[in-house]
Amino acid sequence: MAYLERYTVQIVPDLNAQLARFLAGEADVFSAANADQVAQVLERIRANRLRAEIFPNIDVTLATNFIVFNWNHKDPFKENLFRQVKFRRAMAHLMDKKSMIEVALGGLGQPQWSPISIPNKAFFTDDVAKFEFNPQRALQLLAELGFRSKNRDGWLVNAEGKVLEFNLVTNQGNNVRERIAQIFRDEARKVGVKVEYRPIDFNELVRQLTSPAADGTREFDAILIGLTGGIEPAFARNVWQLNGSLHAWNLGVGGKNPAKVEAFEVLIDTLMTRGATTLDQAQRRQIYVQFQKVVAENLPLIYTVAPAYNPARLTRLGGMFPKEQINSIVGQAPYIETVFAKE
Amino acid sequence: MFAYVVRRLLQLVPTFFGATLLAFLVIQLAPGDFVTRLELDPTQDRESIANLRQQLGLDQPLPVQYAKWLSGILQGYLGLSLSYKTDVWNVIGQRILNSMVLVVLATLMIYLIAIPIGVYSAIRKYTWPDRTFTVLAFLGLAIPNFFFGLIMLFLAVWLNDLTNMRILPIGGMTTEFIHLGNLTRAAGLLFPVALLGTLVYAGLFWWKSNHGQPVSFGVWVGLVMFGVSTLLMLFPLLQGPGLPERLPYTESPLWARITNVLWHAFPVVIVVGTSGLAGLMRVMRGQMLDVLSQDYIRTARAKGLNERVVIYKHALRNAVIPFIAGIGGLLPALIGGAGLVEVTMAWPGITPALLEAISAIDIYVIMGLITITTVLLMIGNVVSDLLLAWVDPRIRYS
Repeated sequence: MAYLERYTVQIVPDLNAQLARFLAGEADVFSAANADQVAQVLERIRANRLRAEIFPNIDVTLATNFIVFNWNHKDPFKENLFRQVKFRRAMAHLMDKKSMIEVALGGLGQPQWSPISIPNKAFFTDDVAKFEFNPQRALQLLAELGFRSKNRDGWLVNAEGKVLEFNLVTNQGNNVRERIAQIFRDEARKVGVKVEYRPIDFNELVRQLTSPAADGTREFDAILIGLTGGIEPAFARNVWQLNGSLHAWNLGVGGKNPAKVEAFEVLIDTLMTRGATTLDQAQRRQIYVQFQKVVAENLPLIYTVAPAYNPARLTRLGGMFPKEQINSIVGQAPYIETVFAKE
Repeated sequence: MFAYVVRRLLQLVPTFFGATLLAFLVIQLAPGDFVTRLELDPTQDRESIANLRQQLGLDQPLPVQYAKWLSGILQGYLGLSLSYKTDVWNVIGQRILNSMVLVVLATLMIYLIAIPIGVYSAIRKYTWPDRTFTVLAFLGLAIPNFFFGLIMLFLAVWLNDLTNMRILPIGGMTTEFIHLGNLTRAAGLLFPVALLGTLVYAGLFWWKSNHGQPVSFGVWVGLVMFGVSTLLMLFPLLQGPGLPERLPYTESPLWARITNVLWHAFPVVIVVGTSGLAGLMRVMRGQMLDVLSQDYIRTARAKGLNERVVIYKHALRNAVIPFIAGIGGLLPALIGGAGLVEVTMAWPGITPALLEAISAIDIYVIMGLITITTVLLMIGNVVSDLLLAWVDPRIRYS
């Protein structure tokens, strides 16, 4: 048994190359990026070709994925529709998060209901409104908005014969997001909501999201995108404050507040400012718990699923966290000083 | 001739401006810029985004950006990499060297194998070896390199699993740790073979030159290959026993690092070389057949010349002319990298760097690479034309 004289940090940008290094025993710690990698590590361990342990789905990562609707649409019909909380709740009811985890994340991940990342234990709360997968309930809510009958093609229409339709885009090349978007589209189309899904270039997506025209309107209908989470909710103020540059659903022009603002948006803005200017930890938690409740209730961003954190390590390592202490923020060991090699 | 060279060089100037301007415009046509991805970072507010754009000069009109870049280029400065915040040369220099390892080795392999096979196929047209080479050539041309790279990786994993040893590398250019002990033992085993090979070829060389026979190409190649391997193995044999069993790559002696890189390069070079080999082999065969049907070959045979002399002295020398002309084209290829194989086989060459730069819209890295390639391509063309005039008396420039 020996404490480490030195350790090497290998920077391997490619996910498959990272896996190959761990499988070859050339890296001591590793984090499997997806279910396929987890399976490969497990297979190696079971075949006795690698003396290692892996902790699949032990936690989720800080990343969040959500669908955002455009409240600044040039089409007044769509703008009005997207601003209805009933519409957004109906869309939440159409999200089959179980399938999303199964298909998009290979069974490894957790459903997300509110904006604070699940590993962020200091502020995260699970006690929020959850509009779970329920197409019947979605149909009821849409009926309350006037979409009571279906046209000849099977799409929901309102009394004026307007079809309930929108485009959903996400950035090309992100397999997880592309699959989540497809699952949402398929479920929505089953009940008669005409969702057209298309992956587009990332920079084009950012332009559509963040660059309103001079009159304040934006082009997109709905975007599935993710933001990196942090351990301090106030770091995401640009998303939640009214004049924020990432107030994605209802964006103001030139750093100003949006023209038309709902009451709950003001409340979120206030809570964010209070959270960012309070030092007392208990009060901070209270503020952010309320913040999560307001967001989950009103769904300005409709959260989908959080990908799993699947750390792995060679069994020759000691001085690491036991299973129950591993988390995606700190990792498998608090400090390298505690780590030793058994052989 | 001198006037011709000067005129050709002067013509390069407008070509250079046109090519770089076009490249600059095309890059800018893509939506967004380098800062765009930061706009989705919740911790970046509008001011910091705007500040960054201003600092990087991305807020200025396109003609100004191009002019600034151009003034830097004229002073030999390729610009600033936006991703790495350093001189573009620091970003691409090492990558170009890494790619060169592959390109040089693959080119050597292509020329050393393709020309003899092409000649052989032409002389024995439509025999079964010729047909086999033809089928292999078409296979080599048909399989895309990146896919062949994946197959090679699969083979490597399979072979390593089967033997439970690390016979072939699985991607990458270096290993974290080099097993100096294994290297030394391997060198000990292979050294007698290499030494024997060297002695045999040296003997052949000596015998042929002393008996007035031409020293054939194969003898040269064999002598150089075995000789170099023998010399290389001297290093581990002499130094190896005094070194620890295993050292990190960066602390290993130079010979161990070179061996490590060559070992990693081996499967990649095979993949990269195959398609070029296949193409060149067919071209060589066609050239040779063309030449062999010429009147002067018939004359040479009619004079009663030895068939070897007819083929190697009269036919081959004329058949390789297009290849000599193609040498100029190798210049840009040298830094152009080996293409997507570098991505699939995780070789840290120029292609992954270029793709990374394109997806991050790191304009000056892209421009730097395009500029160097353009300049080398232009110079290469001039060199090709001059070489052609040099080897082929029928061509004269004035």
